[in-house]
Amino acid sequence: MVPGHVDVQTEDQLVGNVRKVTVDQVIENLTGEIATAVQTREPSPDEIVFSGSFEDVNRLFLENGWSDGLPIVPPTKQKIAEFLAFTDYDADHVIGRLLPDNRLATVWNVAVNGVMAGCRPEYMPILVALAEAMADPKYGVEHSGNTPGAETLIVMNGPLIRELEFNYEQGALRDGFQANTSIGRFWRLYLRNVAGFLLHENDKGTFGNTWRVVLAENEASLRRMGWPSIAQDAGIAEGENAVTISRFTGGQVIVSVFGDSAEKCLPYLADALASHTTWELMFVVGFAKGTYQPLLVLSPLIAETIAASGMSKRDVQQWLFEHARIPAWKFERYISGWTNLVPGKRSLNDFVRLGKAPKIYAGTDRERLVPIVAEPEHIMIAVSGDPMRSNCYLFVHNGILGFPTTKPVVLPQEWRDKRNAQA
Amino acid sequence: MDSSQGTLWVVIPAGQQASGGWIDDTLAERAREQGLVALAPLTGDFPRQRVEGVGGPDAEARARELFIARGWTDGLPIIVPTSGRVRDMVRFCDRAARDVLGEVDPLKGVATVEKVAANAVMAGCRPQYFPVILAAVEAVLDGAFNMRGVQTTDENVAPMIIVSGPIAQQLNINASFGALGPGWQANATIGRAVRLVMVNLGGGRAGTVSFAGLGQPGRYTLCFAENTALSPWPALHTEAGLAADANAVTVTRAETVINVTGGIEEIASVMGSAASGFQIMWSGRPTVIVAPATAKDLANRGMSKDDVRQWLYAAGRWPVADWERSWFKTRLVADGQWPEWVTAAASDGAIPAVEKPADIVVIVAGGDVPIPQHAYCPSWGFPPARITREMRLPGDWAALISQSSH
Repeated sequence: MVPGHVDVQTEDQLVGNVRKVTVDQVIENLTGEIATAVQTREPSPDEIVFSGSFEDVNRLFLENGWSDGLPIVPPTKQKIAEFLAFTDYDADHVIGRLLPDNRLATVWNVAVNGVMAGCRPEYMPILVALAEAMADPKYGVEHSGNTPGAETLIVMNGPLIRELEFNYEQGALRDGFQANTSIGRFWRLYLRNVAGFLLHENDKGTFGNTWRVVLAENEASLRRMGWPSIAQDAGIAEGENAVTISRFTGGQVIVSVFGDSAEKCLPYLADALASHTTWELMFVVGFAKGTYQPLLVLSPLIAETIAASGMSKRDVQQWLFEHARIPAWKFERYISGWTNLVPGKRSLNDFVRLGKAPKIYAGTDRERLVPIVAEPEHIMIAVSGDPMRSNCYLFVHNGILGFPTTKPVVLPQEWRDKRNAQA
Repeated sequence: MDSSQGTLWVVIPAGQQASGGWIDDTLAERAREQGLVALAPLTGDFPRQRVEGVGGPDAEARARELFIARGWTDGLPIIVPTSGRVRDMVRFCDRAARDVLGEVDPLKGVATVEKVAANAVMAGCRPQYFPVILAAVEAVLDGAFNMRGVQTTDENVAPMIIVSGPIAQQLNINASFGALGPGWQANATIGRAVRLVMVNLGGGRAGTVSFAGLGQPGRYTLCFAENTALSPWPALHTEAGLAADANAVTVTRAETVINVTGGIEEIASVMGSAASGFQIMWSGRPTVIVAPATAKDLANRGMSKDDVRQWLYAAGRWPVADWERSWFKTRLVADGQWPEWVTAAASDGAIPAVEKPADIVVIVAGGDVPIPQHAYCPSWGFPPARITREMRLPGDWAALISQSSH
């Protein structure tokens, strides 16, 4: 390693540090003893590791880093069995292997963390789908500890939104509804306990933030407009349940969009997309070309005002693609001037020549306006929030380090009977 | 474990390697090979986590028994390292509990601040000793200390922990009557903490991984302070370039502590003998603890510490005839493999105890008694080591110490 952080060192300091420290370490690492990898022995999944009071169980979980700091519901065998009843998978079914701890994601440990998070047993099919999404290589769970500290947002689609009483209206992103809140918490506990992301260890987020509650779309509004949902955009059939996960570095509310038509509403939204997208442009050009997919959440009021002007969701994406633009010099400054995220100080035109940027970025006029995403459909659009407010919300995206990944939610046989039995 | 009031939250003091493995698994294997399972039958049998809940009607007693059965003690009773006690210990430094000091050889358990604190609690340390313990652990983890050798050699070496600076008095670290004996909590427990770190994080269990022929009582604890009040010479740590008012730990590798009654002549006489044989082989750095009365006498004669070293170097020589018929010379080290300085000195008729005068660590300690009591502590092994670490006190040390009991 280089002592300190290379980004804030003068050339002389950097050269000095590399000579004094780094070179020796490189030699030592290349010539020294290689530590043997060992598999850590952990309790078997169904082993009772502790019995005691609620307070004692919570203390044990806190002391050992198995909890997020809030009380957990003790994952007793009985509670776990209630969750397992809501999936047709066997408890030991392996969903995947999660980095960095290389632990297996199993239906059993999904249930355990679901219990702990305060979920209800009938959320189990959603939890399994989330674990599948987390284990999908396309998502890239191994990046979950990167320094920008992005946080996953789960978007819920399908009839389960109504059946399980997800909030998709006023306060859609606030805690307070069991389904949205506890499933969001499950995600973070699963990252901690199975994937192995712990602060001060594998999670290196500089700031981070708490887990996000699940965002459920207002599907009645979507149907009124004839717009596809986020899940449908990803190829899921209408009427099917699905979760879509994506990591976002930040969010910003776009307050008081004013206007009675698409023409009047859209410029403000395009401006928000352009002005809130800065260093994330590294996921458009160079580093991970064309993986930046910001999410614009429209309130039903604004979405339906735009739709009333005759625009489809695709039309809106196209319009925003053409208007959410910044000067080329500014784009270059974000990725390799003020930051060193894309080293080499190349111009956008150079990147096009190298095949690391779409052709649309070609040109030599540094004042030319260039898009902030590679394709129109990379601007994801969801509809949720207070149906009677003119505010919208923008999530800026973490590109390949948490790429949008959608998984269908598979209900167990006799779902209806099991639900009726609960009532 | 059903009694919620009685549950103790115990920090696991055992060594976990950087790879995630626990050294106790290796220790269990070695114990089976050596037929020593009965000594600690529950070796390796503990939950692989940071903290364990121990319940029952007398959880404290149960935890102590568990620790003995798991092989986590030096044979003496320990204080159970509850998470609260460990937290109180960690509070006495400005470092995070997870900070890593290094790996403890030979089994390479990672010495985090918290693991060291847990072992310090077990040893009976007061929280305010923690800066001394951290400095001492840092010193023994210095490559020059050769922890792997110290832990596994057939010789009886132990780390000798010498505290110098104003903190010694503040913490009641004995530098006077009986400084190497029992009765003073700091001396008794600081050295013991380092030993428990060596056992529980490094795996240095006797007969299992550690094969010292006899061992020595200094392996329980070997810690004392410089008698600043009666020393006519500058503080020990100034020789390592630290300011006079700094607080420091100096660690040497002591094969044993040999008592010398008399004057500087007697010290030289013991140095110039087979007692220094192994040290001469490796050009080591011995420690000479000089009694206050003798130090005063030498200073009155105008001798600086360097003069004393020079005098011991010149006078404390092993006669070549003794060397020639020694076991070292006839059985252990073939001709041609002795250091050049040794063979050169041999041709002059006598071999000094060290390669050069500066290699002798001279320190004043003990009570002011008319029949002076010194100690000669020959050094073990390679490489020559005298390691000094300045203590880092927490920023709010004064406030912390004023609230502490002692």
